[in-house]
Amino acid sequence: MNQMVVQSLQGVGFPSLAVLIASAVCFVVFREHPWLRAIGIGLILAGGTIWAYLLAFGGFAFPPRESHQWIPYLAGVVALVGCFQGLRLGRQVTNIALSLGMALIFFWSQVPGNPLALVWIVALTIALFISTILLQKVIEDRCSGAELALGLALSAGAGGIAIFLGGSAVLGQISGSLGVILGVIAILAFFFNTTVGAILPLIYVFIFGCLLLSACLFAQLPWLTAVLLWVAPWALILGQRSDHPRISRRARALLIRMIGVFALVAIALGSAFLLTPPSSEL
Amino acid sequence: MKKHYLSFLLSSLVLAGTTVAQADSFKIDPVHSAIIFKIGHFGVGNVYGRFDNFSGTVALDQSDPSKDAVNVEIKTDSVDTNAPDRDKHIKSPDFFNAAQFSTATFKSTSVKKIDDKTYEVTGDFTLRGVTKPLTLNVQAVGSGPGPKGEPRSGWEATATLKRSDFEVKTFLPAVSDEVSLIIAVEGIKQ
Repeated sequence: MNQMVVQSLQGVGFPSLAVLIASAVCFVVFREHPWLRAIGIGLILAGGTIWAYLLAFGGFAFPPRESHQWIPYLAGVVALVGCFQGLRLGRQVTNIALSLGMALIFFWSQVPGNPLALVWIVALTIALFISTILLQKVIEDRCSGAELALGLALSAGAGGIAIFLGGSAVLGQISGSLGVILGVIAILAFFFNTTVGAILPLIYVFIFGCLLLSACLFAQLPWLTAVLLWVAPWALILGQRSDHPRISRRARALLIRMIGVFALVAIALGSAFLLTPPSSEL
Repeated sequence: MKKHYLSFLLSSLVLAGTTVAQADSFKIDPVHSAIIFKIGHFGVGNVYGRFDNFSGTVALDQSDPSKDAVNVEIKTDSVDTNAPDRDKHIKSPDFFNAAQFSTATFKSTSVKKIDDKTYEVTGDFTLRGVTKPLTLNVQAVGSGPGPKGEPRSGWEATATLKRSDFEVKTFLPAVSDEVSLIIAVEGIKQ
């Protein structure tokens, strides 16, 4: 098999397998302690994301000079913030601080020569902050752990394909890894029928957001595709959450709730194929 | 009269001396120059590419070689490997991140004359925001008037670098770490 494909599969597979094993242990050990479970899952997700980045780019850059080089550091910060937010401590303050921090990552270097970049910083901060609130307040409260995780996983996984088509195999690989890692959490949350914690929306907004923005600004991911992927989990606002004890009932409810997400993800991928046809360069 | 001849002779010598001492400055003529790279593919072959947009200067000072200088600026989004899809990928954050780092630069720090035709030019090469020392082995090709009579000189330089030194690690080791460079330039004397 193509050596590059093997490398990519390993880059997605190893972190996902590690997250699966560690999270399963966490779900079992902390079954009766939701906040400890949330902290454990937060740290495991951050670890999986950092490992996925390491396998994709072959190392960390310090100090980071490029937006994507912030991903491992963002993952660490997001995990810590997620732990505090699990205790309902300073949610909105930390959300706005993270949103502003990410906006600065992308636009701060442009401020000296281009004051208009300040407008972009404010706009991106507001967009990220609102996205975080929407996911945490509206969607998280209306979704079971599995529903939320699967919705985010579908979007991030499809993001991997779209970013690959947009010209960056490595950013695509990290997004694919994130999708599989979130998918693993969705499976565990489904079988354990439990919630996961505040970390999931944070990982989505700040890690997947960083990948989408990097791919749009520095590769050739179409903005339309990125926006469709970004809003896809918002479709979870439709329908009723199901924590029914019977697996079959939960599974049916889960599938129904995913219809909207599937539709938006399918349109996003369609737009990516139309706007950036598959390449044959490898 | 003798005094006049003497002063004329002296001033001529001074002027001639000034001409020799002056640094010759050359501007790279992109039409008759090329920057080519070679990189290994799966250990079974080599892929060649080039940069279509670059500029630079060469300054040579016969009397004070320490003032010799070579500066080259390469537009990273002008990479051309005869495969547009691959070029798009090379410009992405996986390799050059050309949208953020639009140029790669070489600025010499020392020029060592090996013999009449050979130089060793050491300098700082910056790619993707990372600066590392790089040594170019330079051969002087020739000098003479161009089609419009303008004075020209030509050089051909080779160098080898490790892309991982510049934090470009995508697809290692399938796509080799070692990259060979050929910089063949004609300079027009300014």
